[in-house]
Amino acid sequence: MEDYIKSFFQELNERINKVSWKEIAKATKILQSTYENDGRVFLIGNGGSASIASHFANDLNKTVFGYKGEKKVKRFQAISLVDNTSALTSWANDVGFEAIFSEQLKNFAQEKDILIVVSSSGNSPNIIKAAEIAQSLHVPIISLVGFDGGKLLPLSDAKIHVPSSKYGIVESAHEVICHLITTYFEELL
Amino acid sequence: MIITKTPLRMSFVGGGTDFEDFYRQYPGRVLSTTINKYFYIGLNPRFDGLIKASYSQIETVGHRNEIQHPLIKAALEDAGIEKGIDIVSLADIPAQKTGLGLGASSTFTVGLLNGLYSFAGKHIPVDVLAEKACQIEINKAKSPIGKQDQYAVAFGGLNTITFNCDGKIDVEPIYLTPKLSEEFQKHLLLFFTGKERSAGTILSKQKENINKKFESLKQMSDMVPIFKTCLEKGDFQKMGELLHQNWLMKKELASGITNLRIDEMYNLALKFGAWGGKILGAGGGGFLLIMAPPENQGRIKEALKEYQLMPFRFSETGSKIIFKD
Repeated sequence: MEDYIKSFFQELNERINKVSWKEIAKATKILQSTYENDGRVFLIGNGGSASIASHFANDLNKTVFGYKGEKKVKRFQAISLVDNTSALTSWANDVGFEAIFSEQLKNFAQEKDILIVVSSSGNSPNIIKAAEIAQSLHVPIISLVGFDGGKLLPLSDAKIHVPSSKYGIVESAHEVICHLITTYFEELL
Repeated sequence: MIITKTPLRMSFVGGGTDFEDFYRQYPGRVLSTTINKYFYIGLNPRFDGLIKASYSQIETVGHRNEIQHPLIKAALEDAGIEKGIDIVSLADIPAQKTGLGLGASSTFTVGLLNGLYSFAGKHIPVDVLAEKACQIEINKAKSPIGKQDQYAVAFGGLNTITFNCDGKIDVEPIYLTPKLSEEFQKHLLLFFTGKERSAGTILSKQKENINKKFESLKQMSDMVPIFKTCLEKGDFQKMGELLHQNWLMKKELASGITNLRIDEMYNLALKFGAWGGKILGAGGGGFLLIMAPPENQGRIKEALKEYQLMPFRFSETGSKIIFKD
Protein backbone atom coordinates (compact mmCIF):
# COMPACT_ATOMS: atom_id res chain seq x y z
CA MET A 1 0.00 0.00 0.00
CA GLU A 2 2.80 2.35 0.90
CA ASP A 3 4.37 1.83 -2.53
CA TYR A 4 1.00 2.36 -4.21
CA ILE A 5 0.52 5.72 -2.50
CA LYS A 6 4.09 6.80 -3.03
CA SER A 7 3.99 5.96 -6.71
CA PHE A 8 0.91 8.19 -7.23
CA PHE A 9 2.63 11.06 -5.48
CA GLN A 10 5.77 10.45 -7.49
CA GLU A 11 3.91 10.42 -10.78
CA LEU A 12 2.04 13.62 -9.89
CA ASN A 13 5.32 15.21 -8.93
CA GLU A 14 7.04 14.16 -12.15
CA ARG A 15 4.27 15.44 -14.36
CA ILE A 16 3.75 18.75 -12.57
CA ASN A 17 7.47 19.42 -12.83
CA LYS A 18 7.16 19.20 -16.62
CA VAL A 19 4.73 22.13 -16.77
CA SER A 20 6.32 25.22 -18.34
CA TRP A 21 6.85 27.79 -15.60
CA LYS A 22 6.91 30.52 -18.23
CA GLU A 23 3.37 29.69 -19.31
CA ILE A 24 2.18 29.92 -15.70
CA ALA A 25 4.00 33.26 -15.35
CA LYS A 26 2.41 34.42 -18.60
CA ALA A 27 -1.01 33.49 -17.21
CA THR A 28 -0.38 35.63 -14.11
CA LYS A 29 0.53 38.59 -16.34
CA ILE A 30 -2.67 38.20 -18.37
CA LEU A 31 -4.70 37.98 -15.14
CA GLN A 32 -2.98 41.04 -13.67
CA SER A 33 -3.60 43.08 -16.79
CA THR A 34 -7.28 42.08 -16.72
CA TYR A 35 -7.48 43.11 -13.07
CA GLU A 36 -5.91 46.50 -13.86
CA ASN A 37 -8.42 47.11 -16.66
CA ASP A 38 -11.47 46.04 -14.63
CA GLY A 39 -11.95 43.17 -17.04
CA ARG A 40 -13.82 40.02 -16.09
CA VAL A 41 -12.43 36.51 -15.85
CA PHE A 42 -14.74 33.82 -17.27
CA LEU A 43 -14.07 30.21 -16.37
CA ILE A 44 -15.30 27.01 -18.00
CA GLY A 45 -14.74 23.25 -17.82
CA ASN A 46 -16.60 19.90 -17.89
CA GLY A 47 -17.01 17.42 -15.03
CA GLY A 48 -14.06 17.52 -12.64
CA SER A 49 -12.70 20.48 -14.61
CA ALA A 50 -16.03 22.28 -14.08
CA SER A 51 -15.49 22.05 -10.36
CA ILE A 52 -11.91 23.28 -10.73
CA ALA A 53 -13.23 26.25 -12.75
CA SER A 54 -15.83 26.99 -10.10
CA HIS A 55 -13.32 26.62 -7.26
CA PHE A 56 -10.75 28.85 -8.97
CA ALA A 57 -13.35 31.55 -9.63
CA ASN A 58 -14.10 31.63 -5.93
CA ASP A 59 -10.42 31.73 -4.98
CA LEU A 60 -9.83 34.68 -7.32
CA ASN A 61 -12.87 36.52 -5.99
CA LYS A 62 -12.41 35.83 -2.31
CA THR A 63 -9.25 33.98 -1.18
CA VAL A 64 -6.95 36.47 -2.93
CA PHE A 65 -8.40 39.24 -0.77
CA GLY A 66 -8.04 37.54 2.60
CA TYR A 67 -9.97 34.99 4.62
CA LYS A 68 -12.66 37.51 5.52
CA GLY A 69 -12.20 39.63 2.42
CA GLU A 70 -10.42 42.14 4.65
CA LYS A 71 -8.03 43.48 2.01
CA LYS A 72 -9.64 46.71 0.97
CA VAL A 73 -8.46 46.83 -2.59
CA LYS A 74 -10.22 46.51 -5.89
CA ARG A 75 -11.21 42.86 -6.39
CA PHE A 76 -11.08 40.39 -9.24
CA GLN A 77 -14.31 39.91 -11.17
CA ALA A 78 -14.27 36.18 -11.84
CA ILE A 79 -17.41 34.55 -13.21
CA SER A 80 -17.74 30.79 -13.45
CA LEU A 81 -19.93 29.84 -16.40
CA VAL A 82 -20.43 26.28 -15.09
CA ASP A 83 -22.69 27.12 -12.16
CA ASN A 84 -25.89 28.46 -13.70
CA THR A 85 -28.19 25.44 -14.15
CA SER A 86 -30.87 27.37 -16.02
CA ALA A 87 -28.39 28.75 -18.53
CA LEU A 88 -26.65 25.41 -19.03
CA THR A 89 -29.82 23.34 -19.45
CA SER A 90 -31.59 25.81 -21.68
CA TRP A 91 -28.73 26.11 -24.18
CA ALA A 92 -28.13 22.36 -24.02
CA ASN A 93 -31.80 21.54 -24.49
CA ASP A 94 -32.63 24.13 -27.12
CA VAL A 95 -29.46 24.36 -29.15
CA GLY A 96 -27.07 21.58 -28.16
CA PHE A 97 -24.52 20.73 -25.53
CA GLU A 98 -21.65 22.28 -27.48
CA ALA A 99 -23.35 25.71 -27.10
CA ILE A 100 -23.53 25.82 -23.27
CA PHE A 101 -20.44 27.99 -22.75
CA SER A 102 -20.07 29.82 -26.06
CA GLU A 103 -23.60 31.23 -25.87
CA GLN A 104 -23.05 32.50 -22.32
CA LEU A 105 -19.83 34.16 -23.46
CA LYS A 106 -21.78 35.96 -26.19
CA ASN A 107 -23.89 37.56 -23.43
CA PHE A 108 -20.96 38.88 -21.47
CA ALA A 109 -17.54 38.90 -23.12
CA GLN A 110 -15.78 42.13 -24.06
CA GLU A 111 -12.25 42.75 -25.30
CA LYS A 112 -10.87 43.59 -21.87
CA ASP A 113 -12.08 40.25 -20.44
CA ILE A 114 -10.33 36.88 -20.47
CA LEU A 115 -11.38 33.24 -20.60
CA ILE A 116 -9.84 30.49 -18.47
CA VAL A 117 -10.49 27.05 -19.88
CA VAL A 118 -9.92 23.91 -17.82
CA SER A 119 -9.95 20.80 -19.99
CA SER A 120 -7.89 17.64 -19.59
CA SER A 121 -8.30 16.50 -23.20
CA GLY A 122 -8.49 19.98 -24.72
CA ASN A 123 -10.91 18.53 -27.27
CA SER A 124 -14.45 18.74 -25.83
CA PRO A 125 -16.71 20.35 -28.47
CA ASN A 126 -18.32 22.80 -26.01
CA ILE A 127 -14.86 23.94 -24.89
CA ILE A 128 -13.50 24.37 -28.41
CA LYS A 129 -16.64 26.25 -29.47
CA ALA A 130 -16.27 28.64 -26.51
CA ALA A 131 -12.57 29.17 -27.27
CA GLU A 132 -13.39 29.99 -30.89
CA ILE A 133 -16.01 32.52 -29.83
CA ALA A 134 -13.53 34.06 -27.36
CA GLN A 135 -10.98 34.35 -30.13
CA SER A 136 -13.46 36.02 -32.46
CA LEU A 137 -14.21 38.55 -29.70
CA HIS A 138 -10.43 39.12 -29.15
CA VAL A 139 -10.70 37.76 -25.61
CA PRO A 140 -7.36 36.20 -24.52
CA ILE A 141 -7.45 32.55 -23.41
CA ILE A 142 -5.57 30.90 -20.56
CA SER A 143 -5.86 27.14 -20.89
CA LEU A 144 -5.17 24.41 -18.35
CA VAL A 145 -4.90 21.21 -20.35
CA GLY A 146 -3.54 17.66 -20.10
CA PHE A 147 -2.96 14.77 -22.52
CA ASP A 148 -1.48 16.26 -25.71
CA GLY A 149 -3.23 19.61 -25.23
CA GLY A 150 -5.77 18.85 -27.96
CA LYS A 151 -7.31 21.40 -30.26
CA LEU A 152 -7.46 23.93 -27.44
CA LEU A 153 -3.70 24.44 -27.15
CA PRO A 154 -3.14 26.36 -30.41
CA LEU A 155 -6.11 28.63 -29.62
CA SER A 156 -4.62 29.66 -26.26
CA ASP A 157 -2.50 32.66 -25.25
CA ALA A 158 -1.10 31.03 -22.08
CA LYS A 159 -0.76 27.26 -22.42
CA ILE A 160 -0.57 25.48 -19.06
CA HIS A 161 -0.06 21.90 -20.18
CA VAL A 162 0.29 18.94 -17.79
CA PRO A 163 1.71 16.18 -19.98
CA SER A 164 -0.12 13.12 -18.67
CA SER A 165 -2.94 10.97 -20.06
CA LYS A 166 -4.42 10.21 -16.63
CA TYR A 167 -7.36 12.35 -15.56
CA GLY A 168 -6.48 12.03 -11.85
CA ILE A 169 -2.97 13.34 -12.40
CA VAL A 170 -3.99 16.13 -14.78
CA GLU A 171 -6.85 17.40 -12.62
CA SER A 172 -4.78 17.23 -9.42
CA ALA A 173 -2.01 19.22 -11.09
CA HIS A 174 -4.51 21.79 -12.37
CA GLU A 175 -5.80 22.34 -8.82
CA VAL A 176 -2.25 22.83 -7.56
CA ILE A 177 -1.52 25.40 -10.30
CA CYS A 178 -4.77 27.28 -9.55
CA HIS A 179 -3.70 27.46 -5.90
CA LEU A 180 -0.25 28.67 -6.92
CA ILE A 181 -1.80 31.51 -8.93
CA THR A 182 -4.17 32.30 -6.04
CA THR A 183 -1.22 32.52 -3.64
CA TYR A 184 0.69 34.71 -6.10
CA PHE A 185 -2.12 37.27 -6.18
CA GLU A 186 -2.66 37.04 -2.41
CA GLU A 187 0.94 38.25 -2.08
CA LEU A 188 0.85 40.73 -4.94
CA LEU A 189 -2.39 42.59 -4.30
CA MET B 1 -18.13 54.73 -28.96
CA ILE B 2 -14.72 53.22 -28.32
CA ILE B 3 -12.30 53.99 -25.48
CA THR B 4 -8.72 52.73 -25.44
CA LYS B 5 -6.39 52.77 -22.46
CA THR B 6 -2.63 52.75 -23.05
CA PRO B 7 0.07 53.00 -20.36
CA LEU B 8 3.00 55.36 -20.10
CA ARG B 9 6.40 53.73 -19.77
CA MET B 10 9.62 54.12 -17.80
CA SER B 11 12.88 52.86 -19.28
CA PHE B 12 15.80 51.90 -17.07
CA VAL B 13 18.76 51.10 -19.30
CA GLY B 14 19.53 50.94 -23.00
CA GLY B 15 17.58 53.98 -24.23
CA GLY B 16 19.08 55.35 -27.46
CA THR B 17 20.01 51.91 -28.79
CA ASP B 18 16.56 51.63 -30.35
CA PHE B 19 17.41 53.91 -33.29
CA GLU B 20 17.60 52.03 -36.57
CA ASP B 21 20.92 53.70 -37.45
CA PHE B 22 22.37 51.96 -34.40
CA TYR B 23 20.68 48.58 -34.24
CA ARG B 24 21.32 47.81 -37.91
CA GLN B 25 25.00 47.68 -36.90
CA TYR B 26 24.78 46.23 -33.38
CA PRO B 27 21.77 44.77 -31.49
CA GLY B 28 19.96 47.40 -29.43
CA ARG B 29 18.40 46.49 -26.08
CA VAL B 30 16.14 48.32 -23.66
CA LEU B 31 14.78 47.28 -20.27
CA SER B 32 11.58 49.10 -19.44
CA THR B 33 8.25 48.83 -17.68
CA THR B 34 4.84 50.32 -18.14
CA ILE B 35 3.38 52.20 -15.16
CA ASN B 36 -0.10 52.86 -13.82
CA LYS B 37 -0.44 56.21 -15.58
CA TYR B 38 -2.49 56.04 -18.74
CA PHE B 39 -3.62 57.76 -21.89
CA TYR B 40 -7.28 57.33 -22.79
CA ILE B 41 -8.49 57.88 -26.35
CA GLY B 42 -12.22 58.19 -27.07
CA LEU B 43 -13.62 57.72 -30.57
CA ASN B 44 -17.19 58.21 -31.71
CA PRO B 45 -18.85 58.38 -35.12
CA ARG B 46 -20.11 61.84 -36.15
CA PHE B 47 -23.49 62.17 -37.79
CA ASP B 48 -22.42 65.21 -39.82
CA GLY B 49 -19.50 63.37 -41.43
CA LEU B 50 -16.86 65.80 -40.16
CA ILE B 51 -13.68 64.96 -38.28
CA LYS B 52 -13.20 66.64 -34.92
CA ALA B 53 -9.90 66.03 -33.17
CA SER B 54 -9.55 67.46 -29.66
CA TYR B 55 -6.08 67.56 -28.14
CA SER B 56 -4.25 70.70 -26.93
CA GLN B 57 -6.06 72.29 -29.88
CA ILE B 58 -9.36 71.47 -31.51
CA GLU B 59 -9.50 70.76 -35.22
CA THR B 60 -12.81 70.39 -37.05
CA VAL B 61 -12.38 69.48 -40.72
CA GLY B 62 -14.25 67.82 -43.56
CA HIS B 63 -11.64 65.25 -44.55
CA ARG B 64 -8.58 63.68 -42.91
CA ASN B 65 -6.26 65.31 -45.46
CA GLU B 66 -7.02 68.66 -43.81
CA ILE B 67 -5.95 67.49 -40.33
CA GLN B 68 -2.86 69.34 -39.09
CA HIS B 69 -1.80 66.96 -36.30
CA PRO B 70 0.66 64.66 -38.10
CA LEU B 71 0.08 61.60 -35.89
CA ILE B 72 -3.71 61.79 -36.08
CA LYS B 73 -3.64 62.32 -39.83
CA ALA B 74 -1.26 59.39 -40.41
CA ALA B 75 -3.20 57.11 -38.05
CA LEU B 76 -6.48 57.87 -39.85
CA GLU B 77 -4.80 57.08 -43.16
CA ASP B 78 -3.41 53.83 -41.84
CA ALA B 79 -6.76 52.68 -40.50
CA GLY B 80 -8.50 53.74 -43.71
CA ILE B 81 -10.82 56.28 -42.08
CA GLU B 82 -11.50 59.39 -44.17
CA LYS B 83 -14.13 61.25 -42.20
CA GLY B 84 -17.00 61.14 -39.71
CA ILE B 85 -15.24 60.67 -36.39
CA ASP B 86 -14.79 62.47 -33.08
CA ILE B 87 -11.40 61.96 -31.42
CA VAL B 88 -10.69 63.00 -27.84
CA SER B 89 -7.83 62.20 -25.49
CA LEU B 90 -7.35 62.30 -21.74
CA ALA B 91 -4.15 61.57 -19.86
CA ASP B 92 -3.23 60.91 -16.22
CA ILE B 93 -0.17 63.12 -16.75
CA PRO B 94 -1.04 65.67 -19.39
CA ALA B 95 1.90 66.98 -21.36
CA GLN B 96 1.94 70.40 -22.96
CA LYS B 97 3.63 70.86 -26.30
CA THR B 98 6.50 68.57 -25.51
CA GLY B 99 6.88 65.29 -23.70
CA LEU B 100 7.78 64.31 -20.18
CA GLY B 101 10.02 61.34 -20.84
CA LEU B 102 7.31 58.79 -20.26
CA GLY B 103 6.83 57.90 -23.90
CA ALA B 104 3.58 59.85 -24.14
CA SER B 105 3.67 60.52 -27.88
CA SER B 106 3.97 56.81 -28.63
CA THR B 107 1.36 56.01 -26.01
CA PHE B 108 -0.95 58.41 -27.82
CA THR B 109 -0.16 56.93 -31.24
CA VAL B 110 -0.54 53.31 -30.14
CA GLY B 111 -3.79 53.99 -28.26
CA LEU B 112 -5.21 56.01 -31.15
CA LEU B 113 -4.30 53.42 -33.76
CA ASN B 114 -5.66 50.57 -31.63
CA GLY B 115 -8.97 52.41 -31.32
CA LEU B 116 -9.14 53.48 -34.99
CA TYR B 117 -8.69 49.89 -36.22
CA SER B 118 -11.47 48.75 -33.93
CA PHE B 119 -13.58 51.70 -35.14
CA ALA B 120 -13.01 50.51 -38.73
CA GLY B 121 -14.13 47.01 -37.71
CA LYS B 122 -10.65 45.50 -37.95
CA HIS B 123 -8.56 43.78 -35.31
CA ILE B 124 -4.86 44.47 -35.01
CA PRO B 125 -2.48 42.04 -33.23
CA VAL B 126 -0.21 43.68 -30.67
CA ASP B 127 3.09 43.30 -32.57
CA VAL B 128 1.53 44.73 -35.73
CA LEU B 129 0.08 47.58 -33.67
CA ALA B 130 3.52 48.43 -32.30
CA GLU B 131 5.20 48.30 -35.72
CA LYS B 132 2.49 50.38 -37.41
CA ALA B 133 2.81 53.00 -34.66
CA CYS B 134 6.56 53.11 -35.38
CA GLN B 135 5.91 53.60 -39.08
CA ILE B 136 3.50 56.43 -38.33
CA GLU B 137 5.77 58.25 -35.89
CA ILE B 138 9.14 57.65 -37.53
CA ASN B 139 8.39 57.42 -41.27
CA LYS B 140 5.24 59.47 -41.73
CA ALA B 141 5.44 62.10 -38.97
CA LYS B 142 9.27 62.15 -39.20
CA SER B 143 9.77 62.16 -35.43
CA PRO B 144 13.46 61.62 -34.60
CA ILE B 145 12.70 58.74 -32.21
CA GLY B 146 13.51 55.07 -31.83
CA LYS B 147 11.18 52.12 -31.50
CA GLN B 148 11.28 51.25 -27.80
CA ASP B 149 8.21 53.21 -26.70
CA GLN B 150 5.74 51.85 -29.22
CA TYR B 151 6.64 48.25 -28.34
CA ALA B 152 6.77 48.91 -24.59
CA VAL B 153 3.28 50.41 -24.42
CA ALA B 154 1.59 48.16 -26.97
CA PHE B 155 2.74 45.02 -25.08
CA GLY B 156 2.78 46.40 -21.51
CA GLY B 157 4.64 45.07 -18.47
CA LEU B 158 8.29 44.77 -17.49
CA ASN B 159 10.25 43.65 -20.54
CA THR B 160 13.58 43.39 -22.25
CA ILE B 161 13.11 44.63 -25.80
CA THR B 162 15.75 43.60 -28.33
CA PHE B 163 16.22 45.39 -31.66
CA ASN B 164 18.01 42.92 -33.90
CA CYS B 165 20.30 43.90 -36.78
CA ASP B 166 17.88 42.36 -39.30
CA GLY B 167 15.17 44.72 -38.01
CA LYS B 168 13.27 42.05 -36.06
CA ILE B 169 12.13 43.18 -32.62
CA ASP B 170 11.70 40.80 -29.67
CA VAL B 171 9.76 41.65 -26.53
CA GLU B 172 10.73 39.30 -23.71
CA PRO B 173 8.80 39.61 -20.42
CA ILE B 174 10.73 39.65 -17.15
CA TYR B 175 8.91 37.60 -14.52
CA LEU B 176 9.41 38.70 -10.91
CA THR B 177 7.94 37.26 -7.74
CA PRO B 178 5.46 39.59 -6.00
CA LYS B 179 8.06 40.24 -3.28
CA LEU B 180 10.85 41.12 -5.69
CA SER B 181 8.61 43.38 -7.74
CA GLU B 182 7.54 45.18 -4.55
CA GLU B 183 11.15 45.55 -3.39
CA PHE B 184 12.20 46.95 -6.77
CA GLN B 185 9.42 49.53 -6.70
CA LYS B 186 10.35 50.50 -3.13
CA HIS B 187 13.81 51.47 -4.37
CA LEU B 188 12.52 53.94 -6.96
CA LEU B 189 11.56 57.60 -6.68
CA LEU B 190 10.21 59.74 -9.49
CA PHE B 191 10.57 63.52 -9.40
CA PHE B 192 9.18 66.05 -11.85
CA THR B 193 11.97 68.43 -12.80
CA GLY B 194 9.38 71.13 -13.48
CA LYS B 195 10.53 71.86 -16.95
CA GLU B 196 9.07 70.54 -20.13
CA ARG B 197 11.55 70.25 -22.90
CA SER B 198 11.60 69.93 -26.62
CA ALA B 199 12.43 66.27 -27.07
CA GLY B 200 12.66 66.67 -30.83
CA THR B 201 15.71 68.93 -30.82
CA ILE B 202 17.69 66.78 -28.38
CA LEU B 203 16.77 63.56 -30.16
CA SER B 204 17.67 64.97 -33.58
CA LYS B 205 21.12 65.81 -32.24
CA GLN B 206 21.35 62.39 -30.58
CA LYS B 207 20.41 60.72 -33.86
CA GLU B 208 23.10 62.66 -35.73
CA ASN B 209 25.65 61.61 -33.11
CA ILE B 210 24.99 57.85 -33.36
CA ASN B 211 28.21 57.03 -35.20
CA LYS B 212 30.33 59.31 -32.99
CA LYS B 213 28.87 57.75 -29.85
CA PHE B 214 28.74 54.21 -31.17
CA GLU B 215 30.99 52.71 -28.46
CA SER B 216 28.92 54.28 -25.66
CA LEU B 217 25.71 53.00 -27.20
CA LYS B 218 27.21 49.50 -27.48
CA GLN B 219 28.05 49.59 -23.79
CA MET B 220 24.57 50.83 -22.95
CA SER B 221 23.01 47.98 -24.92
CA ASP B 222 25.30 45.43 -23.23
CA MET B 223 24.30 46.79 -19.83
CA VAL B 224 20.73 45.53 -20.31
CA PRO B 225 21.31 41.80 -19.67
CA ILE B 226 23.54 42.68 -16.69
CA PHE B 227 20.82 44.91 -15.22
CA LYS B 228 18.30 42.11 -15.76
CA THR B 229 20.47 39.54 -13.98
CA CYS B 230 20.93 41.91 -11.02
CA LEU B 231 17.18 42.49 -10.91
CA GLU B 232 16.43 38.77 -10.85
CA LYS B 233 18.92 38.39 -7.99
CA GLY B 234 17.52 41.39 -6.12
CA ASP B 235 20.88 43.19 -6.20
CA PHE B 236 19.40 46.68 -6.10
CA GLN B 237 22.62 48.46 -5.22
CA LYS B 238 24.33 47.12 -8.31
CA MET B 239 21.30 48.12 -10.38
CA GLY B 240 21.53 51.65 -9.00
CA GLU B 241 25.21 51.77 -9.89
CA LEU B 242 24.46 50.58 -13.42
CA LEU B 243 21.81 53.29 -13.73
CA HIS B 244 24.45 55.79 -12.69
CA GLN B 245 26.92 54.55 -15.34
CA ASN B 246 24.11 54.56 -17.91
CA TRP B 247 23.29 58.17 -17.00
CA LEU B 248 26.91 59.29 -17.29
CA MET B 249 27.02 57.87 -20.82
CA LYS B 250 23.54 59.07 -21.74
CA LYS B 251 24.41 62.66 -20.77
CA GLU B 252 27.20 62.63 -23.37
CA LEU B 253 25.01 61.44 -26.26
CA ALA B 254 23.87 64.97 -27.10
CA SER B 255 23.99 68.42 -25.60
CA GLY B 256 20.80 69.41 -23.77
CA ILE B 257 20.06 65.97 -22.28
CA THR B 258 21.09 67.37 -18.95
CA ASN B 259 21.29 70.93 -17.67
CA LEU B 260 22.28 72.77 -14.50
CA ARG B 261 19.02 72.08 -12.70
CA ILE B 262 18.95 68.38 -13.54
CA ASP B 263 22.60 67.99 -12.54
CA GLU B 264 21.88 69.76 -9.27
CA MET B 265 18.89 67.54 -8.51
CA TYR B 266 20.83 64.42 -9.40
CA ASN B 267 23.86 65.40 -7.33
CA LEU B 268 21.67 66.21 -4.32
CA ALA B 269 20.04 62.80 -4.56
CA LEU B 270 23.45 61.13 -4.70
CA LYS B 271 24.71 63.22 -1.80
CA PHE B 272 21.81 62.05 0.37
CA GLY B 273 22.29 58.39 -0.37
CA ALA B 274 20.95 57.52 -3.82
CA TRP B 275 22.81 54.91 -5.85
CA GLY B 276 21.95 56.30 -9.25
CA GLY B 277 19.22 57.47 -11.55
CA LYS B 278 18.50 59.08 -14.87
CA ILE B 279 16.34 61.50 -16.71
CA LEU B 280 13.57 59.54 -18.38
CA GLY B 281 13.17 59.86 -22.11
CA ALA B 282 15.00 62.37 -24.25
CA GLY B 283 16.19 64.59 -21.41
CA GLY B 284 16.42 68.32 -20.82
CA GLY B 285 13.50 68.14 -18.38
CA GLY B 286 10.57 65.88 -17.65
CA PHE B 287 10.89 63.21 -14.98
CA LEU B 288 13.98 62.25 -13.01
CA LEU B 289 14.12 58.65 -11.80
CA ILE B 290 16.18 57.97 -8.69
CA MET B 291 17.18 54.59 -7.31
CA ALA B 292 17.95 54.63 -3.61
CA PRO B 293 17.76 52.34 -0.58
CA PRO B 294 14.44 52.88 1.23
CA GLU B 295 16.20 54.05 4.42
CA ASN B 296 17.75 57.01 2.59
CA GLN B 297 14.62 58.09 0.75
CA GLY B 298 13.33 60.38 3.50
CA ARG B 299 16.46 62.51 3.28
CA ILE B 300 16.40 62.55 -0.53
CA LYS B 301 12.77 63.63 -0.58
CA GLU B 302 13.58 66.38 1.92
CA ALA B 303 16.51 67.60 -0.19
CA LEU B 304 14.35 67.64 -3.34
CA LYS B 305 11.15 68.82 -1.69
CA GLU B 306 10.65 71.71 -4.10
CA TYR B 307 10.17 69.19 -6.89
CA GLN B 308 6.93 67.27 -7.22
CA LEU B 309 7.21 63.60 -6.32
CA MET B 310 5.08 61.32 -8.44
CA PRO B 311 3.90 58.07 -6.83
CA PHE B 312 3.49 55.24 -9.32
CA ARG B 313 3.21 51.47 -9.58
CA PHE B 314 4.34 49.09 -12.30
CA SER B 315 1.56 48.00 -14.61
CA GLU B 316 1.07 44.87 -16.69
CA THR B 317 -1.40 46.47 -19.04
CA GLY B 318 -0.60 47.04 -22.68
CA SER B 319 -2.82 49.09 -24.99
CA LYS B 320 -6.37 47.85 -24.54
CA ILE B 321 -9.87 48.58 -25.75
CA ILE B 322 -11.67 49.06 -22.45
CA PHE B 323 -15.03 50.17 -23.79
CA LYS B 324 -16.90 49.45 -26.98
CA ASP B 325 -20.55 50.27 -27.45
